[in-house]
Amino acid sequence: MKMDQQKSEHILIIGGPDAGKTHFGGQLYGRLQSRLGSYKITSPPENLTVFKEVLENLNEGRSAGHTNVSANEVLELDLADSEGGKTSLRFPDYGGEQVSAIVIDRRVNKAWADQLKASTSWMLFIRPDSLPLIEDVVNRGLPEQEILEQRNKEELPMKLSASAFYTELLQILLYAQKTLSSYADQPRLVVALSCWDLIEEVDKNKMPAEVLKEKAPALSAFIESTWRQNHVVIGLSSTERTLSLTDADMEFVKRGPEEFGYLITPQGEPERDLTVSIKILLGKS
Amino acid sequence: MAGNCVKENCYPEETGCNYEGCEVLTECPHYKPDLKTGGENSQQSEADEFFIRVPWTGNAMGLKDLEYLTSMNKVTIVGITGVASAGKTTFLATLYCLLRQGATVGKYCYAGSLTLSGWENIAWYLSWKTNNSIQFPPHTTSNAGRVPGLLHLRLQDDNNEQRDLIFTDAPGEWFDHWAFNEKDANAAGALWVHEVADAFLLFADCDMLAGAQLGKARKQTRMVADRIKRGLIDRPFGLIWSKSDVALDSDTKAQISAFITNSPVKHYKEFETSVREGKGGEFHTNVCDSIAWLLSMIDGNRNKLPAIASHEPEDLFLSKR
Repeated sequence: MKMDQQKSEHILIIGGPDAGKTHFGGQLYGRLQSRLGSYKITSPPENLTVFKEVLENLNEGRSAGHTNVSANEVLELDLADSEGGKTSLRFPDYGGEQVSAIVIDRRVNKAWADQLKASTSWMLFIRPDSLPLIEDVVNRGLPEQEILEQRNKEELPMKLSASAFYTELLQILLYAQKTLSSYADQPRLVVALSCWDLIEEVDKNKMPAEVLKEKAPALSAFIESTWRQNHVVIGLSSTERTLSLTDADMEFVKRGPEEFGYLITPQGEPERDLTVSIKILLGKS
Repeated sequence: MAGNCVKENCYPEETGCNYEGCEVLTECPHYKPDLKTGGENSQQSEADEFFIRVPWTGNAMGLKDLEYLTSMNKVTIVGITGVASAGKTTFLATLYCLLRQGATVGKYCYAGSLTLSGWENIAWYLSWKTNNSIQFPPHTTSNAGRVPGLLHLRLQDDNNEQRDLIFTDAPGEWFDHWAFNEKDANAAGALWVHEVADAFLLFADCDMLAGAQLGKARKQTRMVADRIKRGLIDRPFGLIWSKSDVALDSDTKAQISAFITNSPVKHYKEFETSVREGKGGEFHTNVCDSIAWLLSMIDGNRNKLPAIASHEPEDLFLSKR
């Protein structure tokens, strides 16, 4: 049992540009540091440069800038839960464009391969407010033949639907993970629907899994088939409000970043302690 | 020699090293032999050259691409047959649109695909674009190829049983040639589909059958049906009344049905489908139902598992099967 508690858990954060990875990291770190949540830091990390910008900006009530495309840094954190159980977390940070590149180039580079090999949990960030609704013959129908013939004939290049993009991403990552780890266990998958504060009011009362199913049905079906028991969907709002890059939000500064942000558990309950996400990522919730 | 590798069947840049499994391609003894001595890559470090490449391209597959899939799983090949413009590609695009919007195929749910770009390409036509355009997929180009474009679909049921389906997306002209002459050089692809498919869907075009081209369309449908029936054995054969939003009189339907069933076909069923959903969405439901029917017929052909007489649930050794 003791061995098991000390097993190193490695969370791989997966998310495209602007999906909210860095903000989550900064806010999670703030909570861990405040030592008031379910998990706390046992010893301060040697190198905090990964979160330097986001911590500075959030404390000044501004949003963090875009993570450098080629950045590939890993923050290591030693954590303890309220019962003293120890966990070590490795939190990688990188420019979200790398995720798009995996699907476009259809290959995984060395830095990603190393992370995939060690990973025990994946946290996939998806912004539901930027998932476009697909309108096709299923939900919008086709006009009559005569009208169809008079229509705009200009051909637009095909763009992968969000469902197809994320499905292909997960298929590629799973293939690489299996190849690298000699078919070790598939990592747990936590889908984080980020910027939860920006989704429509009616959706806020729904379970996160339900929102994913409505916004990207094929992706939801793929995840349910491929991960079965081994996955959950959560809602996440790391800063609770949209911060500007330049203008400081004084209320945010005054109350402090730790007072903002929440997650929606897989059961649909709001939770202000962001460190609970670690419990979820470790499959203990 | 294929691409940058001396070995046949290896396309290292696209689908990874097929022989040695090299992540760093320049380390492979079979890779670019004439360029190796140049030392042009010496400035790049190993980490820059290291890549895990996936063995599928995302586009419609050819025979070579199929090797990766068939080496791991048993695949079920669904032969999509019928003459040009009968709506074969549109049917496949509609099927994908339905799955993309959350539809199920009988007891099976969508569980991914290795040809997502291939599916999205044909479904793109049936999707509303930002410039408010939508159209039918264009004619599937006929070439002298022997193997049609292959689209992959993975399905999974409640018991975690996975089914890997391959749909053939072939140009209709192949079946035209095949109907007249089985040995026609342009019918090689149709012959291949007939040989390897585990199940068939034949497309009868209601729009053509209801119009001035009735005679031609009826003759073509019957002739292709006859070809499919030869050597069919217990493979299921579904007839798709495509473009069923166009009303077709029941006599014409009965004529064609009667012709197909004038000699016994073990598993035969007809489905009315259309890209338009029809009353209560029936034409769309039938798209998924036709595939579910084919799968259940294929399963029905399997031998029953022998009953185990000595089954004792308490016996740990017996129950761990």
